[in-house]
Amino acid sequence: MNEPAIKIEGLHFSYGRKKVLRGVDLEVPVGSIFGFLGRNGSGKTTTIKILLGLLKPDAGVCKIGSLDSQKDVMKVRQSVGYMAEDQQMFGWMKVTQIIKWVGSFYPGWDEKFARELVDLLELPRDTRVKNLSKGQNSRLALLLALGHRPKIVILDDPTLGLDPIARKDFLRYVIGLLQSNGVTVFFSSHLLYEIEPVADYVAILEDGVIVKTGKTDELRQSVKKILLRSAGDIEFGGVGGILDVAKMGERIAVTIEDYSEAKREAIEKKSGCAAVDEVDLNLDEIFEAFVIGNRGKKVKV
Amino acid sequence: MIKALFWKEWCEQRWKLAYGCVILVGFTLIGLRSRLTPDEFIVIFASAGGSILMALLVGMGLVATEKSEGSLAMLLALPVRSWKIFAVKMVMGALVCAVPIVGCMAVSLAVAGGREMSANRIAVAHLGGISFSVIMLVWMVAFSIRQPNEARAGLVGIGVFMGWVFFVFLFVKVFYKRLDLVLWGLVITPLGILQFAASEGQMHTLWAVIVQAVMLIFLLLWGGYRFGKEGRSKL
Amino acid sequence: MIIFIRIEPSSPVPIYRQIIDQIRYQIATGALKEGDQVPSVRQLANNLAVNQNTILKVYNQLCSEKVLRIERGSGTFVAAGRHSIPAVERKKTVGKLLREAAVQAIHLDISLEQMKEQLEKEYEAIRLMRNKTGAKSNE
Repeated sequence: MNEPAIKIEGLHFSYGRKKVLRGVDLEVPVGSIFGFLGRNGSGKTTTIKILLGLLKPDAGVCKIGSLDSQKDVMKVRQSVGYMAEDQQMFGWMKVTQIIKWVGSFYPGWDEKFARELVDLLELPRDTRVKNLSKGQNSRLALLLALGHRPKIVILDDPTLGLDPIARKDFLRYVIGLLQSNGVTVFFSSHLLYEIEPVADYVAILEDGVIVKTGKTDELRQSVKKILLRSAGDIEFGGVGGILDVAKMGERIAVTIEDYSEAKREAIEKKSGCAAVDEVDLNLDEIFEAFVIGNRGKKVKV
Repeated sequence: MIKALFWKEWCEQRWKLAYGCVILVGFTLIGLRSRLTPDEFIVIFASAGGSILMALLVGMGLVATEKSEGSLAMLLALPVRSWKIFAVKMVMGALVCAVPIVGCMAVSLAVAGGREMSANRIAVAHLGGISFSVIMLVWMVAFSIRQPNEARAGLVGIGVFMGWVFFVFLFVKVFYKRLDLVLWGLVITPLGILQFAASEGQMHTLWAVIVQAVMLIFLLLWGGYRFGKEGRSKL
Repeated sequence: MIIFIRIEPSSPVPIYRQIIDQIRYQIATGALKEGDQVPSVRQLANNLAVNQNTILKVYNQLCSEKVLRIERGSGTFVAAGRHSIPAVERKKTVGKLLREAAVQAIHLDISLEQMKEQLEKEYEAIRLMRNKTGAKSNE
């Protein structure tokens, strides 16, 4: 099982003049839950659409298992479960009708399983899609993505617009239904605090590239902020892993990735001042550091 | 798969077929039975007017409804080639346009066949109407694929029709001295089909059919291609 | 068997550590007694809406520390008396934590006296709770 479930290499894409993806590289291990994180408009949906063959990239390769997402589009769609962002379905169809209808496109559709899911996901069988609540709509979209028992499931912002309880329930379904069966889950979100408990791995997309990728449970510990006893300008060139440098009153706050004693000492040496304090960051702050951190470019007084 | 696509389109469009039948067949029946006007008037009005009505009604909803409801994205993400989806839509749309006119033809033949007009004339007039309707449907859909909702698509359809009328008037105005050129001009517009159907000009009819068929194929290919690209429009 | 665990979203402590700590806390205070069954990996993952691998990590660590034990076919239970673990090991575990606490205290300018005071307070508080729930005593 050496082949990753999903592999993205050097993906470039522009909408007209606007360059959205500037060389995205990503590998999703088989059977993992992979969180794809980024701000609104960062290109997550674009990346996912390219994976599904809905968009054609300017450059780069996407592989789903051994299939190429541009050359083997139909095979990819047959073997992958996909839930679009804010998926709108055919309002006039009843729940049972749309399930049967979608099922006819997949030779591997498991009718019995689909029927079990209707009960498990608490969907009203005879209600028309246009009369479903947002939560029910999302769960229906999930069902449609799972009915053909795919080994890989791609969810684009699946909890968009759901209330906190519905969100947690949705993630429970993902863990219970998919992780238990060794299904690879690739889902995008802009909420790190939602991804963190659920995902094995996380990748952050910003400005068209992946700025961080790694195991989720190492994230909280690996990013720290140290406060230096100094207020003047300091140049941090040459010290790796600096995410952000900011003035905090009479101190300079340096946010560091993959924190270690060695790095702290290196920074103390480079700046010539001692570190007065070590601050642990919450997830929002960690996300900010990766996404809008200035990477230690010269801080002006 | 294809069956499922046809089923969906049928469920979504059958009300238009019912509507068209009721309006057109009703009008034809009442008009011919009451004999308030010459038969020809009713026949031309029903087949020509009906064809425009049906083309607009169907063309408006074929693609634009999916877009305005947002379900087009889901449709295009299914494991089926987008040209198949488009083809099924067009076939069903053409059927929905044609059937009411066929209904009119049946009624007209039954009530007024051989009365003021020969059965042949009536049949040809209606066949012309069906062809015109389908042609207008294809033109309208091909040009309105990018439109976000039915109203805009409808405007495109009206615009297409007005464009044809204008072209014909212009052509006639410019070449009025040369009747043969005028006839050739009519050949290249879909309106010509109606005209020739009405007047039974044999040679020009054949050319008109060929030209229209070629244009239709081109428009269908172009429309199908743009339909498949509709995944791009939303960021 | 539902055990009450709350994950702190804004804490810098990784989720698996938080769960481990809370399970240990509940055992220490007697809320979880020896022989009690804890939820299966799947059940706990579902309860907390947390990745199953994280829960697996928690249980594996607690099992290797002999805090929990797995009984093939029946489930996972709170392990019998810590007395089965040699005193040297137990002291080492606590010693490690005390060293970390000492480092932090010196770092933050807390005196040994203050530290002792605080330790006494915390120790007693847990003892109290444990007595209330009638758990087996340490002595």
